[in-house]
Amino acid sequence: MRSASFAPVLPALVALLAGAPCWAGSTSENFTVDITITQPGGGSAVTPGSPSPAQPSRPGVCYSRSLSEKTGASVQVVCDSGQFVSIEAVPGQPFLGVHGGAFRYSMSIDRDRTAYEAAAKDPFGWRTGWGTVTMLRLYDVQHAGGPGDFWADRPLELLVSF
Amino acid sequence: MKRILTATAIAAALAAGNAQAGSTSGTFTVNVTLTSACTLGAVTNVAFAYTSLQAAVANATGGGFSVSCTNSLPYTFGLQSGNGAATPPGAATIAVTDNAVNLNYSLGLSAAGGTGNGAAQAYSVTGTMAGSQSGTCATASCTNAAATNKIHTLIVNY
Repeated sequence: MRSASFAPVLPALVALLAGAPCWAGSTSENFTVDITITQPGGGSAVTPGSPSPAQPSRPGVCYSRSLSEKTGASVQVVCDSGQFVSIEAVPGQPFLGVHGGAFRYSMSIDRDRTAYEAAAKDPFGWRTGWGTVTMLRLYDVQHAGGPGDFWADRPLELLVSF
Repeated sequence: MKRILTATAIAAALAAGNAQAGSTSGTFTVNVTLTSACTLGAVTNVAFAYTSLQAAVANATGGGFSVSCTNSLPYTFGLQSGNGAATPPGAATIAVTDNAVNLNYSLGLSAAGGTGNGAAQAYSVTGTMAGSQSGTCATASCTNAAATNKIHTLIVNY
């Protein structure tokens, strides 16, 4: 009667023993993984965001074309690394109104030139910012440039994430 | 004269002969207990050289080691992340994200195991790093020297 109560357990026990490791012993050693990461071309490390299917992905370049055909839009490009993103023309695509080199930008809808100039001289003014953008497009089809046109009057918005 | 020589020869023969009356014998057994074992040599560092966002998979260099096991003893290898106490048998591969340069890599082995021959047998820890990874590096080049998860464990099970 007593042995009968163990009967259901025995197959499981046998199966457990059969599946148990039969190693007589083990030995182990630690080892180290060394990694050296190099920036492509010595530039900043960034992760491509949304590579354009029409353009080959280039190392170190984030792509965002979702709003590239719109005006008055706010485009934010953020790379995973948190490092700076270069804004430039997609190769082979139209790119108007380009500024080159490191620059300080000023965005204003204030038509008071005096206020603009005061803000532009203040590196910490709310309308100015510091950047290392290598190329920047400021383009507004509703306020095409012309004689006497003051670009700071144009209602543009640029959001750059550093 | 001839008789004298014969008597001398018989006396010499008796003197050289076995004087024991008989013999008996027994057998005995030599018991040998051999405990099988393996010894594992140091593992050379596994090294990756990676260019941020590179398209190609990066293969590691280094990782060589040798194991010496009792002749005919089968053994297997296992890997374990970190340098904590080994918990055999370990895994065939491990995936790691380096916490200094933020790059993912996987480690494997050149063979799952082998059979001992009493001599040192050479193997290696292999490593691959997928392409298109950014990594984290604020300067032109960085290393994972500061990583706290760069040390791992190789286990030999026998």
